[in-house]
Amino acid sequence: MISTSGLTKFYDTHPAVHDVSLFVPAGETCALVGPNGAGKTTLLKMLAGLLRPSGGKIEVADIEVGAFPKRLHRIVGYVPDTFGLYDELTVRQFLEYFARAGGVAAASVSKRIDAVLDLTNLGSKRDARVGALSRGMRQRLVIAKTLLHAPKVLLLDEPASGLDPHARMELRDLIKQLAALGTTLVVSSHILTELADFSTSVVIMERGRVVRSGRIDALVSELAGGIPVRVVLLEAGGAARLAEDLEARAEVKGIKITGATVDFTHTGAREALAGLHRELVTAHAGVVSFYERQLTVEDVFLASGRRDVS
Amino acid sequence: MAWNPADVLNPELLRGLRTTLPRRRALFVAGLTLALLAAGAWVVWNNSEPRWYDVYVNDPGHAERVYALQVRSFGATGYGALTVVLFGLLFMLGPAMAGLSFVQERLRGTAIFQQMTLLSPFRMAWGKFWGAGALAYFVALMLLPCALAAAWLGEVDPHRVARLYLFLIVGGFALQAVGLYASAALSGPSERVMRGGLLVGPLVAVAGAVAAVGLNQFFNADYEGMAVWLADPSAHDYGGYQYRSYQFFWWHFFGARVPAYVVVLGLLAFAGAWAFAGAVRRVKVWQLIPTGPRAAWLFYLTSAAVLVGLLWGRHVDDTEPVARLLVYMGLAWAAVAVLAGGSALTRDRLREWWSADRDPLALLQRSEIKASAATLLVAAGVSLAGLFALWASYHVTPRGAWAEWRLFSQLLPIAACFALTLVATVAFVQFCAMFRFRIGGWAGVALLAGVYAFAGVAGALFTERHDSPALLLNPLSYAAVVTRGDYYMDSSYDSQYLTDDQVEWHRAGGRPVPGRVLLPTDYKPNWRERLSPSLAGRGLGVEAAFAFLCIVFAVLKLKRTRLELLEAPDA
Repeated sequence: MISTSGLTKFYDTHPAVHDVSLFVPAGETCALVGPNGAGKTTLLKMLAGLLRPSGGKIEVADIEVGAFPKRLHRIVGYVPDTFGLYDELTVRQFLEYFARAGGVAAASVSKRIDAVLDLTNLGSKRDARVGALSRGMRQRLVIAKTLLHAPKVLLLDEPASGLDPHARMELRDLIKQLAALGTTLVVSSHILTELADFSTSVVIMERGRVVRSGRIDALVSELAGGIPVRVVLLEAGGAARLAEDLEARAEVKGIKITGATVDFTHTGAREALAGLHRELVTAHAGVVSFYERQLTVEDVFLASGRRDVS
Repeated sequence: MAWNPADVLNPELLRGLRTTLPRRRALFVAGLTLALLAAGAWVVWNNSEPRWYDVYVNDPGHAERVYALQVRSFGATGYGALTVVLFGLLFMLGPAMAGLSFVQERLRGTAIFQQMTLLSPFRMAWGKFWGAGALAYFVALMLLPCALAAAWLGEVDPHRVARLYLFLIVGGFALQAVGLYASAALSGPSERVMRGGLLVGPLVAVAGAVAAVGLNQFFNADYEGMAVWLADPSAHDYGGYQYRSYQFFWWHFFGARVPAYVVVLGLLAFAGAWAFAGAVRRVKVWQLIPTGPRAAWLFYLTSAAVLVGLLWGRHVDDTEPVARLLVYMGLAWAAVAVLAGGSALTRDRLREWWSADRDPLALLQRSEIKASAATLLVAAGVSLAGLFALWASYHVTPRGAWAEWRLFSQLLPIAACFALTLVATVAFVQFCAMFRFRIGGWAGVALLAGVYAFAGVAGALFTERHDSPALLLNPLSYAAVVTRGDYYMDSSYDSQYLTDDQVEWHRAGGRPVPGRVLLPTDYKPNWRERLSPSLAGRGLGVEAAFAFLCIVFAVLKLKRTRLELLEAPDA
């Protein structure tokens, strides 16, 4: 769906994005992660056709970005990190403007507005003035405006920045809903926990370059070299003995003790893992749970050796 | 089903209307306008009462006469005051609002959404154009009927009213388009929003006020009276004197005599149309839509055609042709310099491109470079074509026959010198753009203007010598030197006032008498000095040497810059 090759963007002397080649398949929810100044916003703006690259190529849904900006904007939606709104308009007038300017057929404008208002939970604010909305509502209004033309690709730049916890939860739910509708999403953030919940793939950027990218499970498997497992004990005292037991086994590596929790990577077959499970429960009293850990963007990031992201 | 304005109106225009003139604000503005109108009318009516000496108290129709005079004075004063307000609205408020339109989007943070809309650049600019002027139009539409009624009551010449209001509308729209262009140009794809972008609005408003004050004289003149006189000058006394004074109000376009107000209106419409086209182009650039150079070519072509039309041919009581040729060359040169300044490859741009592709020849493959080079060539070609056309128009005898062109002694040296100057200008501007000037190529334009101005001043100090290299470096002074004393270029046709006896004498001899203003009958060349071939050659040598130096320095600087950037990209 989205592919770039050798993508480069220089701002004066500073290479904001340098030689970035990546691929995001259709239907993915891709987390774009990196510290402030890593080049996430520049990359998203180039993907959205809002910034001309210094070099390299971009294709979104087989459309060459730069050659056909209007065709691109028919299928791409972009929510910037900072924006302003027409505060004098009502929510409905605001959406009506963007619907008509965005090529929505006149007969479908009202229907589309109702649909996006429902989706973003802003139906009750239909006749409110935009200037009177809270920050979270403004963020949702911009997402609603972006969804008016039903984009196949949605690019969200730091969407949760400045939102309160409740608004963040609402936003997370909204992103999950959009993903469920089949929209390809690229969501950037420098806060990993924001993305952990819904991302299926990740692109990690640092100083303008992509340091790692791909599906999260594949990356985890590649980085960890097996299946990540977590054992939770009743008491922390038993963790050391369990670790000793695990160290003696050839198919276990990367043992890490955190209180009453022991994390390790199992490099053997899944049948062997089932056997290990039985043995540990039998040999060690107080095993509360034994499960294959769901790894997140944070794990990938940490496994990549990057620790300068909050 | 209720009528929805959104179904028919341009979305951008509707948004502009809803933003600047929501219903409550419209009602308030309407109420305020009516109240001010009523208060103003009351004041004017009371001040319009005739003085006692204007009427005969013993006149039987005294009361009616007083009333009629008061109504007339009220109408004339009201018309004048309302016209000033209308000019304020359409020449200042509308353009100022247009000057803020795109800048405001950038400052408000909504520009990024407009960059992604699927509205065509034309519809975007069109909507902003009318939306920006909404408030001014709203008030103007309320005042216009009152102003026309006042003109009728004040018995103001209807031709004059029609001309002035035509100026109001055409000029107002043109200035608004200029404001729109300035706003769009300052909110382009660059992230560097011009500091003080909000100043654009007030600056455009000041330009509007200056235009209104400076040009209204061309619309208030008595063209009808002048036309009657011009139809038969022999029927009037003081023909020569009158003819000279009419030159101010009757201009020429490709030789045809046209009222000045028509030319001014045409120029305003031309400038407005191109300013709007420029705004559309800026929106395209802003939305990263690929643009070709053809629009720029057409702009240069039409602008040169208009300029040539205005400076075309020799006319009675007009300036010497060489003066008009210098005006043309100066403007054409400035246009090429501006083009070179705007499209020069700055150090930052070179760094960006060479960072992406280190092949030095890759630059030549970039469409931007190709388009800029082609546009510079077209501009230079159009400038030279205009020069040749003007030259031809000046080398016609007073009776309309083609005269000797002085091809090798004057025309070709001047054209070659001008072409070399254009080449030197482009090379010099590019040379300067590769230094660390913050304003890039514009620094080259400013420095170049300084160099030529210095050369001109230095040359002028040698008043006894016409061939100093400093003087010849400037193509304008070179052209003046080469044509000095030439009958066709350095002389003027003065009108002659013929007495009745002289007219009879012409008739008796079977000579044509085209009225009392006659063209000169002696057109023997009036050389004060012969052209020196060595002078023309020396001037060309100076120009060629300067152009060569500029090109060499530009190429060396380009190579040096590349080495510096590849060794230390952050430098």
